[in-house]
Amino acid sequence: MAVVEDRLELEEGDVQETFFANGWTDGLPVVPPTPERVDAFLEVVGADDPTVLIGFMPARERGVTLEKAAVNAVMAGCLPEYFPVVVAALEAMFDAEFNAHTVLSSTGGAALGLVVSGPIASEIGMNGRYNCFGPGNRANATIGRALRLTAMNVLGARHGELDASSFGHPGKYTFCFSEDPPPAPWRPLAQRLGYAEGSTSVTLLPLEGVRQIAQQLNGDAEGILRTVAAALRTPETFAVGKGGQALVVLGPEHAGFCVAQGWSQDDVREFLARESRITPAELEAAGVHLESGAQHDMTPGDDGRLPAVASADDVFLVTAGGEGAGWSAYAPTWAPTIHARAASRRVRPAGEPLPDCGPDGCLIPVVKR
Amino acid sequence: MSRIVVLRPDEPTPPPTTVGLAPRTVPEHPVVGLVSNGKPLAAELLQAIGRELHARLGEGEVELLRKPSAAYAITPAQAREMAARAHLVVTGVGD
Repeated sequence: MAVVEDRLELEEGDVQETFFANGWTDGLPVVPPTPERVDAFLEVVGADDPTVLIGFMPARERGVTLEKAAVNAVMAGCLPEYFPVVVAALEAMFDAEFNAHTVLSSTGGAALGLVVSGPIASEIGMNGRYNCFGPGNRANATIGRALRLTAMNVLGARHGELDASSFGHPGKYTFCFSEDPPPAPWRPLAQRLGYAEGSTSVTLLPLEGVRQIAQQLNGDAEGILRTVAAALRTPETFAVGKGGQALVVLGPEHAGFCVAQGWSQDDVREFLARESRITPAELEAAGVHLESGAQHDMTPGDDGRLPAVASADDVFLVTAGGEGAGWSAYAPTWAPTIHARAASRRVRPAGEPLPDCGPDGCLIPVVKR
Repeated sequence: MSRIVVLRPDEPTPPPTTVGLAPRTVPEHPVVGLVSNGKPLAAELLQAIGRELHARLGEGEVELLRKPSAAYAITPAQAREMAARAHLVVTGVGD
């Protein structure tokens, strides 16, 4: 069916097939975006003008309006109260450092990985505990899905148009979870990002798939972190040796051992950045050629090693997951930091008016975590 | 079966802007511009093409612009400068 109007009147039973036929879904059924449902979303964020742009992508000459974001969030299955999180995540996506044009088009096939930190996460029922990366939680599943649907439908991030992913991965359907507030004296990610206590933040990372880290027999924090560092420095990861970023999610046992043994979050991040460095010989032993005269500077540092993560600031350390035998998890960014970086935004609570940020959305300076 | 109204989730793509072709004449001293995307071997590949073009077109210049990252486009200023100087621009990717 050729669709030319912004509004369609359809037989209710034809909606799914019409959306599939027009390439408007991710392969799963969607909630029909009726005007009434979309209006409920716009009301939550106080959108007087639904045509206001959340952000604009000059390279594609396309932008995302509040209305299109709401339509896609409805389709994803979000509830209206999730929409402030979706809007904040889309604002992060338009941060120039995130470089969404490349993130969404690269052959590397990155997911839009979203970490929500702060009280709004629990208020809307997000999951940062058992199975936080798995199915079963509506907010986790649909907020992440809303980002991908928006990117596909509004920004052309789909195969055959502007998404050249060689493989992609399941996280491209949805990759969203909440931080489980860390044990004291560790602080939530939102506060470490510089947002006021009580604020909620979103941090968007262009991620490969999540990988579990097993460490179930070692109660020594340094031993646990050496296992994490070993995972970070796997030679087949594109950014290893060049300097990327990493989402590191410590499970309850591992975080507990670190806190009990006096490790601060900065200690952990600095340790992981240092101990994940890799020698050229280790890369070459894995068949990895070192780039020379090209975009990545692979000159070893004074320690004779190359970075897996560009710096300690590029380790995004959060706590999540459920108690068990002793698991953590991590996901590397799909490319080194010269190409893209994570971006964060504060979530405006429902009812807080939108700021006037101009055509490119609101940029918030990156602060030390 | 009832009928419902739904909003479409995409933005209709505007028709592509028509751009006239550059003149196909070869000047006396042609300038060939090469834009390397920064990936391994991209510059080497382009320079080989540049040498071949230079041999076919006769006396002229070959200019290479290396992007620091494949992830970013050249700047508008770089594009204007290249367009002002070069009679033919070749881009390429490496790996």
